[in-house]
Amino acid sequence: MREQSLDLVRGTLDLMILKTLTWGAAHGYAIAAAIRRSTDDTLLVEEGALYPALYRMEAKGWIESEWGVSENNRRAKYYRLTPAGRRHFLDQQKSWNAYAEAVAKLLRQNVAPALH
Amino acid sequence: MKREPMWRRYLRFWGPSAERDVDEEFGFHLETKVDELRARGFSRQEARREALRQFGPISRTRAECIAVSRTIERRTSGMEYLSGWWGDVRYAVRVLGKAKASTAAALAVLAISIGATTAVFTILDRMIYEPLPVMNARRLALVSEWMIGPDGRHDGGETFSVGAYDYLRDRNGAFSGLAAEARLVAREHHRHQRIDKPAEASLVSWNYFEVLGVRPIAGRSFAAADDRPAAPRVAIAGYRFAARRYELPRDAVGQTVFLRDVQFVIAGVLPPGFYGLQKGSDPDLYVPLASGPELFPDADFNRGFWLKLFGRLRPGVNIAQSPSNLQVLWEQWLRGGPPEVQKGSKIECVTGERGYAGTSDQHQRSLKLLGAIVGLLLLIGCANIACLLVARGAARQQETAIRLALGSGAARIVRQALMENCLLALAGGVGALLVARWGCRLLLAAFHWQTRPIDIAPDGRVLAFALAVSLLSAALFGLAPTLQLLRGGRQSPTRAETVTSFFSGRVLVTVEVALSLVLLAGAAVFVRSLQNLRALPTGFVADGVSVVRLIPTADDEDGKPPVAEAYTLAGALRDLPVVRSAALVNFVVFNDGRVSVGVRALDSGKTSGANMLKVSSGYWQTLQISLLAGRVLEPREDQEAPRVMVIGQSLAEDLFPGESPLGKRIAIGRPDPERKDDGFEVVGVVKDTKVWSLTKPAPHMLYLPLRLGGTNTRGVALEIRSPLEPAAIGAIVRGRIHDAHLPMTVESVTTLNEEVGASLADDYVRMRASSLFGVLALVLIAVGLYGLMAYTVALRTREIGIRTAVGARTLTIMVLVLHQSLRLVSIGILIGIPATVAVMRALAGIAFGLPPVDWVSVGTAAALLVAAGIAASLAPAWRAAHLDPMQALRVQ
Repeated sequence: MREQSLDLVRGTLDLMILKTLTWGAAHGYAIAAAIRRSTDDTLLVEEGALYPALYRMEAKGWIESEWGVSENNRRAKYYRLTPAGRRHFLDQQKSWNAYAEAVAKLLRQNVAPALH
Repeated sequence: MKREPMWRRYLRFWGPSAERDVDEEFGFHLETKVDELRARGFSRQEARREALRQFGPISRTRAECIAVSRTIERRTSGMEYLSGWWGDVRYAVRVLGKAKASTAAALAVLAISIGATTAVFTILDRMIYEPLPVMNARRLALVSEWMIGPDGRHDGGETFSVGAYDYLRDRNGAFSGLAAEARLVAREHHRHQRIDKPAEASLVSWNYFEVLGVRPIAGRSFAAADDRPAAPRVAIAGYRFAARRYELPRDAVGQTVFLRDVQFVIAGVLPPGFYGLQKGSDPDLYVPLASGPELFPDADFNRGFWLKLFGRLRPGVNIAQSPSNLQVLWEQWLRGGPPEVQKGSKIECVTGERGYAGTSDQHQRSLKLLGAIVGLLLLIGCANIACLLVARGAARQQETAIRLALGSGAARIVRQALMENCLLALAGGVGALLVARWGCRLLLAAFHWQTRPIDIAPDGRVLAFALAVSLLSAALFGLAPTLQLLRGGRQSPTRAETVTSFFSGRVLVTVEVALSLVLLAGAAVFVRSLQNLRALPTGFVADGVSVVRLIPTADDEDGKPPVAEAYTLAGALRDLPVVRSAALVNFVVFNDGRVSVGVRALDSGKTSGANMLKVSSGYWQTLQISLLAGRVLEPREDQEAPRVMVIGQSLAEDLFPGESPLGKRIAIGRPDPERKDDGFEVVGVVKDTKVWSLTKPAPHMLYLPLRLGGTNTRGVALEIRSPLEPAAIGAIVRGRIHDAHLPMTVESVTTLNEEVGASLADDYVRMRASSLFGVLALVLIAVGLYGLMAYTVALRTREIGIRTAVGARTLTIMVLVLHQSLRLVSIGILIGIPATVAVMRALAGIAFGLPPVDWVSVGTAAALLVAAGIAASLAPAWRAAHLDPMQALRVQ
């Protein structure tokens, strides 16, 4: 069960992070907390997995980071969407929706399709 | 999100570190999680364990993040690197543009010193170094023959006769082709025709162009058939000549030219850029050797040794092997050759890659010396600019520290500085090309080469040289400021004050002083050497004598000097009250060459040699040469032309020891048994004079009446002693010629002093160049010291204020500043003395009449430097002494 969720998380984690960042700049902890809250703790099993994803997206130029000071007055690294990141998110969102739609349609099917 | 405050950024002074960033980020995450869990009632321990569990495998995640962030860093620094260059250029332009005065000063210094260096290189390259513009010049060899005298090498022979050339060419195995060029120039001349800029032709073997691998751009090259005595006379035209004479260079083919009245038809035109084998020359025409006897009937062309040989080495033959092959043949030829040829000479082959050098060794040495002088000036200039940049760098230290703090890499900041330096040097280099052009003209004039076809336009080699020198100077003057920058970079930016001892500035000024001492002492040596030369007694008084050279008007076709008309002119001028005396002479001493003849006392048969001048009456009065016995020529003898002569003292003593020479007869030249020779009667003895060299002892002299004729010169010179300026004399002479319709023109008007000085052209070049550059070095020193002193005074404002406040007197403060500046100058002088002594020893052969180490020159140079030091620091000292103590104390 755990391994399966992780695979699922890896596939969709980027999209979730980008979605979270569309609300504005946030540090890693805040992103993790937001994903947990909005998915009822089902999708993000290991918070640490967030960081390699953030770093890779930064390397791809979808997000950028800057050091700032958090609400509890600690030094924290804030991430923010770049224009390229925003475009990428919109693309991904569209194809994800199409994909999810297709999968859902398949799963909803009651009559066996013609196999030959 | 709040921005991180400035002070926290300073903690990142050492630049970003991937590990630290990841750890800090994870730390924040975990701590925040722990806080949250504890707020929900977890104990500290439980909270920590839960936080770690939720985070997952931390070390694997950490490694992954670090790896990703490393690649990001590498890439962004690479991007910054590439995009940075253009930014650096723009930044450098802005920085240089802001400091207008110092940038302009640096540019001027660079332009002058790089330009002077480039000018000297251009001339040396054109005259010596540049390879010949022919196919595979490295395989060419110049062949000469030398007599080995008792004292090593004797520069006698060198050339070959036509017979020897034919023998060597046909039998040698070392060269695929052996060619010859005669050391004679045939000028264009056609009876009854006036030719503007007559052509000059070189006589070459028919295979000359074949051996060089040069093909005509139009028409044909020589063939073997052209070099036979009875062949129709053809010529090949040089490109410059063809372009000058005909509308299109190609049009030259088929045209007719007359050389010494012999008709030649131009058969081909050579490609542009080819100038023959001799540097600094460019024959207009090339004609076959076979035309030699016809062109030079008096020269005994076929038997005389007129030919210079060169060949193209056969493949596989080494230049070191070639002489032995020729030596055997040469000795064979000598055994069978004419008896009057000296035996026992050695064949020598040297590389012909660069052709024949276009200058004498003397000029070459002067040019190289000049190169050394301008190189020294360049070094001084670089030290000066370095000083300037260091001072500016000190002012910019704070800016540098802040840029470092903001995350600029140290390498980036150094690169920025290098960019500024290179930009400065390259801009200086561009200015230098203009200076070089002007400098080349000056050099050509100084060596009397204006009329030579030397192309001073900068070519690839010159441009490469100028670029290399520019970059080298950038490296030289950029070194100290860059080191300072790096040192400064390690300071914390919060240590904002830029109090520095300015050590590098002081070192640079000291080095400048040491170099200038060498330059100035060298200049002093040349000035004193020239003074010594000019102070040498010549036996005549040149001051106040103008020299007017007269040549026949061009349409006068017999080409004889206008002697009779000149006598008329001289007679008329003598009657003018402003003319004290006037005389005619065939040669102007020192500048026109000389004629030496063999002489024989008719009674005793004793023989000797003497320099011969043909003069009119009044010559000795005009030059104030003292009469020792008898009389000099009298005005009536200007018409009668009696067979009399006046001789110099030493010739009299040589031919007639212990007796009076008056009334004795002297014959000139070899005795001719078929003709009776009464010789000339000696009527007077005058003091000896020098005629061609100031340093050699006065030679034997004899004077004949000019009226006797037989002079080989084209014109005649009028020497006038008068208080008037030469220009005024020239105007009077021209007026007389015009009024009396005399068939002659004034070729030049000079002073006799200039004519004597012409034999010292090299000494004048050295003296002028070293003085000019010495003065420039002094100016540089003064500017450098001024800057340094002004800077240190500014740094010590507080201290000086305190001193003034507690009662130090104006003089004390001034001495304080002067003392500091003079200490630097003295240290520089002390360091410079060993170098100066070494340079003087090297110059010992060039300087005249001075001890190997001339302490007077060293002293003069040192005194000049001290004077410059005082002059440069007076203003800062004055300013320091007149500071308002209250304001001075308020300075931070």
